[in-house]
Amino acid sequence: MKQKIVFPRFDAELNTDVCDAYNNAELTLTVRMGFSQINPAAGADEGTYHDYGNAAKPARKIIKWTPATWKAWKDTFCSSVQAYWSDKFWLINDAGSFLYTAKDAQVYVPNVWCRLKVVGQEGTAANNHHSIDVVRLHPSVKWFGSHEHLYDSKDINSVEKNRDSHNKKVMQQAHVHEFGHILGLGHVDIGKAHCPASGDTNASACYGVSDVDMNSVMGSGMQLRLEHSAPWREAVRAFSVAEVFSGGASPTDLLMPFARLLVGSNTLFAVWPAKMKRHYPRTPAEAAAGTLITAPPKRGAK
Amino acid sequence: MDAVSQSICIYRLILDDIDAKVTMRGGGGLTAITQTTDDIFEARIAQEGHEDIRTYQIELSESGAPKILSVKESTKSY
Ligand SMILES: [Zn+2]
Repeated sequence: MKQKIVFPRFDAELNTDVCDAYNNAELTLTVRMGFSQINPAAGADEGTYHDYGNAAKPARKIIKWTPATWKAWKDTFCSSVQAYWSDKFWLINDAGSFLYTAKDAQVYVPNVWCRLKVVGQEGTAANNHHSIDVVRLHPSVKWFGSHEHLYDSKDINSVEKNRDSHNKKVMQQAHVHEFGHILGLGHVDIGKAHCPASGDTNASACYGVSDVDMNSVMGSGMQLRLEHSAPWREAVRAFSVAEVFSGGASPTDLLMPFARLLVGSNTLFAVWPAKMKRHYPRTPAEAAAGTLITAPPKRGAK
Repeated sequence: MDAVSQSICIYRLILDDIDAKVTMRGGGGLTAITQTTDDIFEARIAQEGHEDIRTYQIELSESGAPKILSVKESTKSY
Protein backbone atom coordinates (compact mmCIF):
# COMPACT_ATOMS: atom_id res chain seq x y z
CA MET A 1 0.00 0.00 0.00
CA LYS A 2 1.13 3.55 -0.73
CA GLN A 3 -0.07 6.25 1.62
CA LYS A 4 0.56 9.97 1.48
CA ILE A 5 0.53 12.68 4.13
CA VAL A 6 1.06 16.32 3.18
CA PHE A 7 3.26 18.29 5.57
CA PRO A 8 4.03 22.02 5.24
CA ARG A 9 7.69 21.34 4.36
CA PHE A 10 7.29 18.21 2.22
CA ASP A 11 4.94 15.52 1.00
CA ALA A 12 5.56 12.16 2.63
CA GLU A 13 4.80 8.81 1.03
CA LEU A 14 4.99 5.49 2.84
CA ASN A 15 5.31 2.52 0.50
CA THR A 16 4.75 -0.92 2.02
CA ASP A 17 4.30 -2.64 -1.38
CA VAL A 18 8.07 -3.15 -1.46
CA CYS A 19 8.08 -5.05 1.85
CA ASP A 20 9.11 -8.70 1.90
CA ALA A 21 11.25 -10.91 4.12
CA TYR A 22 14.29 -8.74 3.35
CA ASN A 23 13.01 -5.34 2.29
CA ASN A 24 11.68 -2.63 4.58
CA ALA A 25 8.97 -0.05 4.02
CA GLU A 26 10.16 3.05 2.16
CA LEU A 27 9.37 6.52 3.40
CA THR A 28 9.99 9.13 0.71
CA LEU A 29 9.88 12.83 1.46
CA THR A 30 9.30 14.89 -1.67
CA VAL A 31 10.37 18.54 -1.70
CA ARG A 32 9.39 20.71 -4.66
CA MET A 33 12.01 23.44 -5.12
CA GLY A 34 11.16 26.55 -7.14
CA PHE A 35 14.08 28.18 -8.99
CA SER A 36 14.17 31.71 -10.44
CA GLN A 37 17.07 33.40 -12.23
CA ILE A 38 18.51 36.76 -11.24
CA ASN A 39 20.21 38.35 -14.24
CA PRO A 40 22.09 41.65 -14.79
CA ALA A 41 19.72 44.60 -15.32
CA ALA A 42 18.45 45.62 -18.78
CA GLY A 43 19.48 42.39 -20.49
CA ALA A 44 23.21 43.15 -20.10
CA ASP A 45 25.75 40.33 -20.03
CA GLU A 46 27.34 41.64 -16.82
CA GLY A 47 26.09 43.61 -13.84
CA THR A 48 26.14 43.64 -10.06
CA TYR A 49 24.01 42.36 -7.21
CA HIS A 50 24.28 43.20 -3.53
CA ASP A 51 24.98 40.71 -0.73
CA TYR A 52 21.71 39.49 0.81
CA GLY A 53 19.88 41.52 -1.90
CA ASN A 54 20.43 44.54 0.36
CA ALA A 55 21.48 47.78 -1.40
CA ALA A 56 23.52 48.87 1.65
CA LYS A 57 25.80 45.83 1.35
CA PRO A 58 28.73 45.20 -1.04
CA ALA A 59 27.81 44.74 -4.70
CA ARG A 60 29.26 41.70 -6.44
CA LYS A 61 29.81 41.19 -10.16
CA ILE A 62 27.25 38.88 -11.74
CA ILE A 63 26.75 37.51 -15.25
CA LYS A 64 23.75 36.43 -17.27
CA TRP A 65 22.50 32.86 -17.03
CA THR A 66 22.40 30.87 -20.26
CA PRO A 67 19.84 28.10 -20.78
CA ALA A 68 22.60 25.48 -20.52
CA THR A 69 24.27 26.87 -17.35
CA TRP A 70 20.86 27.34 -15.70
CA LYS A 71 19.75 23.80 -16.41
CA ALA A 72 23.10 22.37 -15.29
CA TRP A 73 22.98 24.36 -12.04
CA LYS A 74 19.44 23.28 -11.15
CA ASP A 75 20.18 19.65 -12.04
CA THR A 76 23.33 19.66 -9.90
CA PHE A 77 21.47 21.27 -7.02
CA CYS A 78 18.71 18.66 -7.03
CA SER A 79 20.90 15.61 -7.65
CA SER A 80 23.58 16.52 -5.10
CA VAL A 81 21.06 17.36 -2.37
CA GLN A 82 19.25 14.11 -3.05
CA ALA A 83 22.50 12.11 -3.07
CA TYR A 84 23.50 13.63 0.27
CA TRP A 85 20.21 13.27 2.18
CA SER A 86 18.50 10.26 0.62
CA ASP A 87 18.91 6.59 1.62
CA LYS A 88 21.07 7.36 4.68
CA PHE A 89 18.80 6.44 7.59
CA TRP A 90 16.78 3.41 8.69
CA LEU A 91 14.20 3.89 11.44
CA ILE A 92 13.76 0.89 13.72
CA ASN A 93 10.10 0.00 14.05
CA ASP A 94 9.43 -0.19 17.79
CA ALA A 95 5.76 0.67 17.29
CA GLY A 96 4.66 -2.59 15.74
CA SER A 97 3.24 -0.61 12.83
CA PHE A 98 2.77 -1.62 9.19
CA LEU A 99 2.89 -5.39 9.85
CA TYR A 100 2.68 -7.55 6.74
CA THR A 101 2.70 -11.22 5.84
CA ALA A 102 5.39 -12.12 3.33
CA LYS A 103 5.27 -14.95 0.80
CA ASP A 104 6.91 -17.27 3.34
CA ALA A 105 3.67 -16.85 5.39
CA GLN A 106 5.68 -15.18 8.12
CA VAL A 107 4.49 -11.89 9.64
CA TYR A 108 7.18 -9.19 9.59
CA VAL A 109 7.70 -5.87 11.31
CA PRO A 110 9.28 -3.66 8.66
CA ASN A 111 11.78 -1.00 9.51
CA VAL A 112 11.58 2.20 7.50
CA TRP A 113 14.13 3.28 4.90
CA CYS A 114 14.37 7.07 4.67
CA ARG A 115 14.40 8.41 1.14
CA LEU A 116 14.28 11.89 -0.39
CA LYS A 117 13.11 13.16 -3.74
CA VAL A 118 13.94 16.73 -4.79
CA VAL A 119 11.84 18.03 -7.65
CA GLY A 120 13.09 21.18 -9.39
CA GLN A 121 10.47 23.41 -11.01
CA GLU A 122 9.83 27.02 -11.95
CA GLY A 123 9.88 29.53 -9.10
CA THR A 124 6.39 30.68 -10.12
CA ALA A 125 4.77 27.25 -9.58
CA ALA A 126 2.04 27.44 -6.95
CA ASN A 127 2.94 24.22 -5.16
CA ASN A 128 6.64 24.85 -4.38
CA HIS A 129 7.64 23.93 -0.85
CA HIS A 130 10.56 26.34 -1.03
CA SER A 131 11.60 28.91 -3.64
CA ILE A 132 14.98 30.47 -4.29
CA ASP A 133 16.35 33.19 -6.57
CA VAL A 134 19.84 32.52 -7.91
CA VAL A 135 22.56 34.93 -9.11
CA ARG A 136 25.31 33.69 -11.41
CA LEU A 137 28.60 35.04 -10.08
CA HIS A 138 31.31 36.41 -12.33
CA PRO A 139 34.30 33.99 -12.32
CA SER A 140 36.39 36.60 -10.44
CA VAL A 141 33.97 36.72 -7.50
CA LYS A 142 34.88 34.46 -4.61
CA TRP A 143 31.97 35.02 -2.26
CA PHE A 144 28.41 36.38 -2.21
CA GLY A 145 26.13 36.87 0.81
CA SER A 146 23.31 34.38 0.30
CA HIS A 147 20.25 33.71 2.42
CA GLU A 148 17.51 31.10 2.44
CA HIS A 149 15.69 32.58 -0.57
CA LEU A 150 18.69 34.06 -2.41
CA TYR A 151 21.49 31.77 -3.60
CA ASP A 152 24.55 32.27 -5.76
CA SER A 153 25.87 29.91 -8.40
CA LYS A 154 28.81 28.94 -6.18
CA ASP A 155 26.62 27.81 -3.27
CA ILE A 156 26.79 24.27 -4.63
CA ASN A 157 30.62 24.28 -4.40
CA SER A 158 32.56 23.10 -1.37
CA VAL A 159 34.05 26.14 0.40
CA GLU A 160 35.88 26.81 3.66
CA LYS A 161 33.36 27.75 6.34
CA ASN A 162 35.55 27.59 9.42
CA ARG A 163 38.79 26.31 10.98
CA ASP A 164 38.86 23.72 13.74
CA SER A 165 41.09 23.80 16.83
CA HIS A 166 43.97 22.29 14.79
CA ASN A 167 43.58 25.05 12.18
CA LYS A 168 42.20 22.44 9.77
CA LYS A 169 39.76 23.78 7.19
CA VAL A 170 36.11 22.85 7.75
CA MET A 171 34.49 22.71 4.31
CA GLN A 172 30.82 22.80 3.39
CA GLN A 173 28.51 22.91 0.39
CA ALA A 174 26.06 25.65 1.42
CA HIS A 175 23.07 24.18 -0.40
CA VAL A 176 23.34 20.85 1.42
CA HIS A 177 23.27 22.70 4.78
CA GLU A 178 20.42 24.95 3.62
CA PHE A 179 18.43 21.91 2.56
CA GLY A 180 18.65 20.69 6.17
CA HIS A 181 16.80 23.89 7.14
CA ILE A 182 14.24 23.26 4.38
CA LEU A 183 13.60 19.84 5.96
CA GLY A 184 13.13 21.58 9.33
CA LEU A 185 16.52 21.07 10.98
CA GLY A 186 18.18 23.81 13.05
CA HIS A 187 21.82 24.65 13.69
CA VAL A 188 23.90 22.13 15.62
CA ASP A 189 24.42 24.11 18.83
CA ILE A 190 20.89 25.46 19.34
CA GLY A 191 19.96 25.06 22.99
CA LYS A 192 23.51 25.27 24.31
CA ALA A 193 24.50 28.17 26.56
CA HIS A 194 26.32 29.99 23.76
CA CYS A 195 23.32 29.64 21.40
CA PRO A 196 20.06 29.98 23.34
CA ALA A 197 16.97 28.96 21.36
CA SER A 198 15.40 32.28 22.39
CA GLY A 199 18.16 34.29 20.67
CA ASP A 200 19.17 34.61 17.02
CA THR A 201 20.08 31.03 16.15
CA ASN A 202 22.03 32.23 13.10
CA ALA A 203 24.80 33.54 15.40
CA SER A 204 28.15 32.05 14.43
CA ALA A 205 28.42 30.17 17.74
CA CYS A 206 25.29 28.20 16.75
CA TYR A 207 27.28 26.61 13.90
CA GLY A 208 29.31 24.61 16.44
CA VAL A 209 32.10 25.55 18.82
CA SER A 210 33.72 22.16 19.45
CA ASP A 211 35.47 20.46 16.52
CA VAL A 212 32.87 17.68 16.48
CA ASP A 213 29.90 20.05 16.33
CA MET A 214 31.60 22.36 13.83
CA ASN A 215 31.88 19.40 11.44
CA SER A 216 28.15 18.61 11.54
CA VAL A 217 26.26 19.41 8.34
CA MET A 218 24.03 21.63 10.49
CA GLY A 219 27.21 23.35 11.67
CA SER A 220 29.99 24.32 9.27
CA GLY A 221 30.87 20.88 7.90
CA MET A 222 29.46 17.97 5.94
CA GLN A 223 28.93 15.25 8.56
CA LEU A 224 25.54 13.63 8.76
CA ARG A 225 24.34 12.64 12.23
CA LEU A 226 21.56 10.41 13.55
CA GLU A 227 19.55 13.40 14.79
CA HIS A 228 19.25 14.59 11.20
CA SER A 229 16.72 11.80 10.67
CA ALA A 230 14.17 13.95 12.56
CA PRO A 231 12.08 14.92 9.49
CA TRP A 232 11.53 11.26 8.60
CA ARG A 233 10.81 10.31 12.20
CA GLU A 234 8.21 13.06 12.40
CA ALA A 235 6.60 11.72 9.23
CA VAL A 236 6.70 8.05 10.22
CA ARG A 237 5.00 8.80 13.54
CA ALA A 238 2.17 10.44 11.63
CA PHE A 239 1.73 7.33 9.46
CA SER A 240 1.98 5.07 12.50
CA VAL A 241 -0.69 6.98 14.42
CA ALA A 242 -2.86 7.27 11.30
CA GLU A 243 -2.74 3.49 10.93
CA VAL A 244 -4.27 3.06 14.37
CA PHE A 245 -6.99 5.66 13.77
CA SER A 246 -7.83 4.28 10.34
CA GLY A 247 -8.36 0.83 11.88
CA GLY A 248 -5.46 -0.68 9.96
CA ALA A 249 -4.01 -1.90 13.22
CA SER A 250 -7.19 -2.20 15.25
CA PRO A 251 -7.15 -4.76 18.07
CA THR A 252 -10.22 -6.26 16.38
CA ASP A 253 -8.16 -7.03 13.28
CA LEU A 254 -8.02 -10.80 13.43
CA LEU A 255 -4.92 -11.12 11.28
CA MET A 256 -2.49 -9.09 13.33
CA PRO A 257 -3.39 -8.55 16.96
CA PHE A 258 -1.06 -11.12 18.51
CA ALA A 259 1.96 -10.05 16.47
CA ARG A 260 1.31 -6.43 17.18
CA LEU A 261 0.81 -6.95 20.90
CA LEU A 262 4.04 -8.88 20.99
CA VAL A 263 6.01 -5.90 19.66
CA GLY A 264 4.46 -3.62 22.23
CA SER A 265 2.20 -1.74 19.84
CA ASN A 266 2.65 1.57 21.60
CA THR A 267 2.28 3.85 18.62
CA LEU A 268 2.22 7.10 20.57
CA PHE A 269 5.35 6.49 22.60
CA ALA A 270 7.41 4.64 20.01
CA VAL A 271 10.88 6.10 19.56
CA TRP A 272 11.68 4.93 16.01
CA PRO A 273 15.45 4.92 16.74
CA ALA A 274 17.51 5.94 13.73
CA LYS A 275 20.43 3.94 12.34
CA MET A 276 22.83 4.71 9.51
CA LYS A 277 23.10 1.10 8.36
CA ARG A 278 20.52 -1.17 6.75
CA HIS A 279 18.51 -3.08 9.36
CA TYR A 280 16.42 -5.95 7.98
CA PRO A 281 12.71 -6.56 8.74
CA ARG A 282 12.09 -8.56 11.90
CA THR A 283 9.58 -11.15 12.96
CA PRO A 284 7.37 -9.95 15.84
CA ALA A 285 9.34 -12.24 18.17
CA GLU A 286 12.64 -10.73 17.06
CA ALA A 287 11.23 -7.22 17.44
CA ALA A 288 9.87 -8.04 20.90
CA ALA A 289 13.30 -9.33 21.94
CA GLY A 290 14.91 -6.13 20.68
CA THR A 291 17.02 -8.04 18.16
CA LEU A 292 18.57 -5.88 15.46
CA ILE A 293 19.40 -7.59 12.16
CA THR A 294 22.14 -5.98 10.10
CA ALA A 295 23.25 -9.00 8.05
CA PRO A 296 20.91 -10.67 5.52
CA PRO A 297 18.97 -13.16 7.68
CA LYS A 298 17.98 -16.71 6.72
CA ARG A 299 14.31 -16.57 5.82
CA GLY A 300 11.81 -18.83 4.09
CA ALA A 301 10.77 -18.39 0.46
CA LYS A 302 10.23 -14.81 -0.65
CA MET B 1 47.48 62.62 19.98
CA ASP B 2 45.72 64.28 17.03
CA ALA B 3 42.29 63.16 15.88
CA VAL B 4 43.49 61.15 12.88
CA SER B 5 46.16 59.36 14.92
CA GLN B 6 43.64 58.57 17.63
CA SER B 7 41.10 57.09 15.20
CA ILE B 8 43.79 55.02 13.46
CA CYS B 9 44.74 53.75 16.89
CA ILE B 10 41.12 52.79 17.64
CA TYR B 11 40.70 50.94 14.33
CA ARG B 12 43.96 49.05 14.94
CA LEU B 13 42.72 47.95 18.38
CA ILE B 14 39.52 46.68 16.81
CA LEU B 15 41.31 44.90 13.95
CA ASP B 16 43.67 43.16 16.38
CA ASP B 17 40.75 42.10 18.55
CA ILE B 18 38.88 40.65 15.55
CA ASP B 19 41.96 38.78 14.39
CA ALA B 20 42.44 37.28 17.85
CA LYS B 21 38.82 36.48 18.74
CA VAL B 22 36.88 35.67 15.60
CA THR B 23 37.00 31.95 14.91
CA MET B 24 34.55 31.61 12.00
CA ARG B 25 37.04 32.52 9.28
CA GLY B 26 35.15 31.68 6.07
CA GLY B 27 32.37 33.79 4.58
CA GLY B 28 32.85 37.28 3.16
CA GLY B 29 35.23 38.59 5.81
CA LEU B 30 35.20 41.97 7.52
CA THR B 31 33.04 44.34 5.44
CA ALA B 32 32.70 47.41 7.69
CA ILE B 33 33.82 49.16 10.86
CA THR B 34 31.61 52.14 11.57
CA GLN B 35 31.66 54.72 14.34
CA THR B 36 28.08 55.01 15.59
CA THR B 37 28.56 57.37 18.57
CA ASP B 38 31.54 59.15 20.16
CA ASP B 39 32.82 56.02 21.83
CA ILE B 40 30.96 53.17 20.07
CA PHE B 41 32.26 51.35 16.98
CA GLU B 42 30.55 48.54 15.12
CA ALA B 43 32.43 45.87 13.10
CA ARG B 44 30.54 43.62 10.66
CA ILE B 45 31.72 40.25 9.37
CA ALA B 46 29.72 38.82 6.47
CA GLN B 47 28.61 35.18 6.65
CA GLU B 48 26.07 33.15 4.67
CA GLY B 49 22.61 34.33 5.75
CA HIS B 50 23.85 36.69 8.43
CA GLU B 51 26.43 39.19 9.65
CA ASP B 52 28.32 38.79 12.90
CA ILE B 53 28.42 42.19 14.58
CA ARG B 54 30.96 43.17 17.22
CA THR B 55 30.14 46.39 19.05
CA TYR B 56 33.09 48.05 20.79
CA GLN B 57 32.98 50.62 23.54
CA ILE B 58 36.22 52.60 23.52
CA GLU B 59 37.71 54.65 26.33
CA LEU B 60 38.94 57.93 24.89
CA SER B 61 41.22 60.19 26.85
CA GLU B 62 42.74 63.52 25.88
CA SER B 63 46.30 62.39 26.34
CA GLY B 64 46.55 58.63 26.69
CA ALA B 65 46.05 55.90 24.10
CA PRO B 66 42.50 54.58 23.54
CA LYS B 67 41.45 51.29 25.20
CA ILE B 68 38.69 48.75 24.51
CA LEU B 69 36.26 48.91 27.45
CA SER B 70 33.84 46.25 26.26
CA VAL B 71 32.85 44.11 23.26
CA LYS B 72 29.28 42.98 22.60
CA GLU B 73 28.53 40.26 20.05
CA SER B 74 25.30 40.19 18.07
CA THR B 75 23.89 38.84 14.82
CA LYS B 76 21.96 40.39 11.96
CA SER B 77 20.07 37.76 9.97
CA TYR B 78 19.00 38.18 6.35
ZN1 LIG C 1 22.08 27.54 8.53
